[in-house]
Amino acid sequence: MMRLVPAIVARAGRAADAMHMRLKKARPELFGSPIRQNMVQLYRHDADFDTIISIPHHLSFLAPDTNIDIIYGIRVFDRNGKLVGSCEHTVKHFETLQEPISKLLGREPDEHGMFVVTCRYISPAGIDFLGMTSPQFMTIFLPRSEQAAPQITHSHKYMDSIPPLKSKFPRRSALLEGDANLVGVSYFLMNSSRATTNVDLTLSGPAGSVVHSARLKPCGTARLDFDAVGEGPFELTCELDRVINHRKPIAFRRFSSGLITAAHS
Amino acid sequence: MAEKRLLVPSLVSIGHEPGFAVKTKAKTIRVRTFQNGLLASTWETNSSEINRVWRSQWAGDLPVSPNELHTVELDGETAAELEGELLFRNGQQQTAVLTGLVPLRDAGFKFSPILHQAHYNVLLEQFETYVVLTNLVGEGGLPSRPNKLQVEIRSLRSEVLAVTEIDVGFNSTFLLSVRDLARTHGARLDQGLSLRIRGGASQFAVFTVFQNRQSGALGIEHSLPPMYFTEAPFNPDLRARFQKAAFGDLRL
Repeated sequence: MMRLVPAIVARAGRAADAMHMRLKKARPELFGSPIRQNMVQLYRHDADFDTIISIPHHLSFLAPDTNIDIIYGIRVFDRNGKLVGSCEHTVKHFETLQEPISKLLGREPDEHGMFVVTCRYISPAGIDFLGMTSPQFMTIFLPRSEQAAPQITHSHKYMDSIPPLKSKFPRRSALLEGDANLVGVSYFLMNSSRATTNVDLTLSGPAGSVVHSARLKPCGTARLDFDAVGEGPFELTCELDRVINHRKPIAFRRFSSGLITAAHS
Repeated sequence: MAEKRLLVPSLVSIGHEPGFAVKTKAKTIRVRTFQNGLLASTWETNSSEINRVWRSQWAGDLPVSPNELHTVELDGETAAELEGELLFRNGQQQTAVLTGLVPLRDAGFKFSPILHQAHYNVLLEQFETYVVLTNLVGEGGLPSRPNKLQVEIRSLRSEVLAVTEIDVGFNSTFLLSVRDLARTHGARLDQGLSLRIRGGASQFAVFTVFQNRQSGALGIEHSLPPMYFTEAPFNPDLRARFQKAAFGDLRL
């Protein structure tokens, strides 16, 4: 029964979203274009990385014969979920918006946190055959070190539209860690909801398991550092106490060479 | 259900040994290595719950070919959705990307052209960006037609700087150096570049690799195909119009 209630609420939320999208598809000039948006991703602006956001004018390659300006909105939160700032940028046909997050925002963000991307089209004309669209983007973590390479993650999760109810949900990542030069892994977790969410991260390796916990404020981000040395394999389990949309921590591996690499888990 | 395989690109030409990791209930894992489009070796092992394997294990005696492709089959795996982890190491670091398996199509299958918007190129002097195109047609005879794609180079301000074609071969890894491509066609790098890549006649998996030119360090991510941006490719009511809009002018 305890698990049934969140499932029912989640289903009701999805049904409401679907109805909203059907209305938009039927009358985009009245209700706006059917865009699935409020996509979230991590930024880092610390001693190891700065962050560049790269957003393509996606209608250009999906519907190249149109010519519709897209107005992208970016909201940036600090690690505690407080809004650092927001901005809008107009992107024209076949243009790409690609800038450091501080330049887009016009101010310095926190050391790390979450940002959210939205968009709207200046016209719905000629794109009805695309149905529901989504402003996907790429996030480039540009290293401060002269030796490291840029790291990259794609967008793929959305802000929760309704507050997720409490329900413990463990998820084992398919990502395995381990390398002769590995000295540690840092995981960044984002709370894509407007409700405080608690998380337990368990990293299991040959010598046993280590658990680190964090309390994620609404729209907040937590960094959890693990000492994970050697070949492993180390396996991550993420247990949240709410079924928020974004359940995949971003992993940054640290090596004895000083290099750092990243992946979504 | 169509057989699915994990495509493992070769990044040996830029100094990294490929590998993979999978958590699976499969009984047997089979790795095939293709060189110049043809099957060059097959390796099998019994699966355990967690598997992590490197090229030196599955094809240690086979001399490396820059365009080689490795495919991973999981015999007995029944999960509809399964992710595999592609691994790359060079003795200094390891990097990885989780990605899905791709279907192996029957001989004669009519592949739709692919569309990849490579807008996220890092062209600072110390870095290189590669678009990594892997593709699979399988062990049967190779198609007689070429596996060509059109590459349109644009500035981030949308100006078309050049349009060219590449032939990536079949059952292969093709590393497209964005810096070399731009230089060949006289495109300036300092303002940033975006590529629109369209075409092909096989099952593709596309990645982007960033490399530090001095240290050889890597970053990698898989691409986001059009289905992430629009529902049209999988909506039977919309698909034909989308295909016409996106590819109607494409001549290869």
